[in-house]
Amino acid sequence: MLGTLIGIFVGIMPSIGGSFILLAGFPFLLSLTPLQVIIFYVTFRISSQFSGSVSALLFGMLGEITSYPALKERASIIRQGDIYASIFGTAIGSTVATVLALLLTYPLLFHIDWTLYLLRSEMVFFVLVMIILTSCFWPDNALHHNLGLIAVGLILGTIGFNPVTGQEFLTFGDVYLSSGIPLLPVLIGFVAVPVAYKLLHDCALISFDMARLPSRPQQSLSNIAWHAVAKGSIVGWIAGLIPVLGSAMSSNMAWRVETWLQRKKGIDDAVARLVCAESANNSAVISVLIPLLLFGIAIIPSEMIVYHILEAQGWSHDRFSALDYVLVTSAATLSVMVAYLLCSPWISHMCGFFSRYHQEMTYAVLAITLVSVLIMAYREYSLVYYVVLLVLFSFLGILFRDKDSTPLILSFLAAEQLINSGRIIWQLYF
Amino acid sequence: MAGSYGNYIFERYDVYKLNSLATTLVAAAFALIPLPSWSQTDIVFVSPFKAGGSTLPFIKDFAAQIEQTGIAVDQRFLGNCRLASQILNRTKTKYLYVWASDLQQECLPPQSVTAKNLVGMLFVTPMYMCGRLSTLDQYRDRPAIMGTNPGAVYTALSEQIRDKINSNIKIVNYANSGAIKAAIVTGEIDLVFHSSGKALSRDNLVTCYAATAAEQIKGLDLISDIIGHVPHSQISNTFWIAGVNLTAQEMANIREIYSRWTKSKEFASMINTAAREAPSGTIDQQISQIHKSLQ
Repeated sequence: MLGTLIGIFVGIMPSIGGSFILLAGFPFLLSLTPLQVIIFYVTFRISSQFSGSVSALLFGMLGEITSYPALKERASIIRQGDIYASIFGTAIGSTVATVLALLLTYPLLFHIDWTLYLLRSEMVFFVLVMIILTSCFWPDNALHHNLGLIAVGLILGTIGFNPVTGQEFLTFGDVYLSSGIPLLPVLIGFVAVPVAYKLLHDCALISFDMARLPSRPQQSLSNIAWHAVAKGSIVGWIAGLIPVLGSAMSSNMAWRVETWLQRKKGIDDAVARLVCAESANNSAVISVLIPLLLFGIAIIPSEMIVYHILEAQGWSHDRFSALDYVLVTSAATLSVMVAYLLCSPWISHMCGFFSRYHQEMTYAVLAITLVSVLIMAYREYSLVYYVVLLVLFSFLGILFRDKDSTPLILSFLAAEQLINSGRIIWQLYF
Repeated sequence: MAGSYGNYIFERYDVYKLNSLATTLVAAAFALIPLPSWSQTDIVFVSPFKAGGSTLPFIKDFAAQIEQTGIAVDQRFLGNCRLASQILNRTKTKYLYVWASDLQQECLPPQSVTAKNLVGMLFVTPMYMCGRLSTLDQYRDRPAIMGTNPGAVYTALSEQIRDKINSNIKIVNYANSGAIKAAIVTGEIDLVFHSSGKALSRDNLVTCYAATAAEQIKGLDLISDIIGHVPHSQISNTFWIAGVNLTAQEMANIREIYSRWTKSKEFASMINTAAREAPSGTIDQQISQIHKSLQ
């Protein structure tokens, strides 16, 4: 339930992504069991996708990047008077897509033996290399910026003592550097602080117009574009498996596919296009978990934070059972329905509140994040080390705030595993 | 109607209009809530490992046992053995710490283990020689790949085993037990010389043939029987708990708690779950075993 509520909030707030909120809630998430963390994460992401598209449709607020198709279709939908039909269609489509994706994922995780072979070092190395390569083409940055970010991420991720190779890299004999650069200062400095800075300085107050909304007509399941739901579910599920880009691009890809198909048939059904995109969104939320649950490899930034939390609790991917999966399935399905029930009557109040007080909200979330991390550092006798890293990375994060730091984060996290799996392959074959 | 009522609430009462600084301070104060409980600590229990390792349940359980006697224990997982070693020698704080002989490839123990500071051994993790075939002899004339722990000592032992059994055995280092398990399950490796051998055998993934151990483990040969009595041929990764800046009375009390705890069913269950070997022997025998494992 908490994941659903927080996800609704994140979906509505422009530019505040899931990673920012997960960082702020880090100490709280550490107190949950691993299964509760996974359920929280799944319900959080599902509800944020839904509320993001609702706020995009109703008020033209881009809460989530995956709501871009909703923003594009808004004008057509308003003109046709189909706002509530599209919200209803999106809710049903999201629910069905979530269930479909969960059914597609289940045999992959538990019943298909060949998936075990995806755990081989060659496969892990391949996935990590794909992550790095796809990061080179991260759409928000130029190629040379991505390459620079990847290089910095790989260097930062390699600093420290590697117990497999027995080698030290750039530690200069320092006791703190020997354990490597910790994840949290990197994420806060390069993700949370620039996001907060932009919200506070670069964005005008979100103008929110409590325009009169049309009265709600009765909705019917027979009006749902089921073909669009099916197409979106499958496209989204496949897209979610693509490291780095898949989850963010799933709705866009499904929307483009549906647009192209409609153009071929000479149809112009904005609601069907939207339902297709939103179904893909939710489907991708499920499939993006597969590398994490199968290999223990996180392929998007918010998942990496979650994996860090799970690791700290002694969780490993081979402990995820079929029963756990059933619980996650139930929670995910409920989450969409709850998000729909909560969003419909309260979305206007929430949007108004966030519009008026987004500065205070941003300061509060940033304060909680920083204090929580500094307390953790104090308990690890590394307060000065963390402060130095936070100041340094925050400065760099603000300096390069116009660049998306995702390639840096991903290569930072992949660095050590890339070296170790590469070394294993070398030892195996040469 | 809901919309107009909502607006009425916001505009009439304006209860959410907070100053940015006040919001920040309130949020920061909220994050500081756990601090007061940590200031009441009597003993700090330091682990050089990250939270989430195999020692975590043991440390938590032992700390809980101590806390039942009214002593407040603050557990800290540093993930950095050099820092842990520095901290334990730096202040006059009362510490308990867990350590492992394996860490010496990166850093030395914070102090020499003596009867004065040793609480007791936690568990022993021998290296197990295991494989997918039913006997070790079946590997004498076929090429194979053996996965092992990283570290000079284990690599050296692996090479000695290879030289004795079959020079066509290739040696590959794996970082942790999860990676070794994945490697054996997917057929990436054929043999395992690793601390997780017991767990793999329990899961029917391998058959174990021998182990490094101070005493023979039921059904297994000693590694020293295969390669001869060479240095480290009986080395097992040994974990122990010791105290710093504790008085003689405090050490005696904690040793008593440790003694009761290691004889309990819960401890036996944890040892079994973790696929480790339980500690045994007197304090002097344990000290001797720890020193041997550090050679």
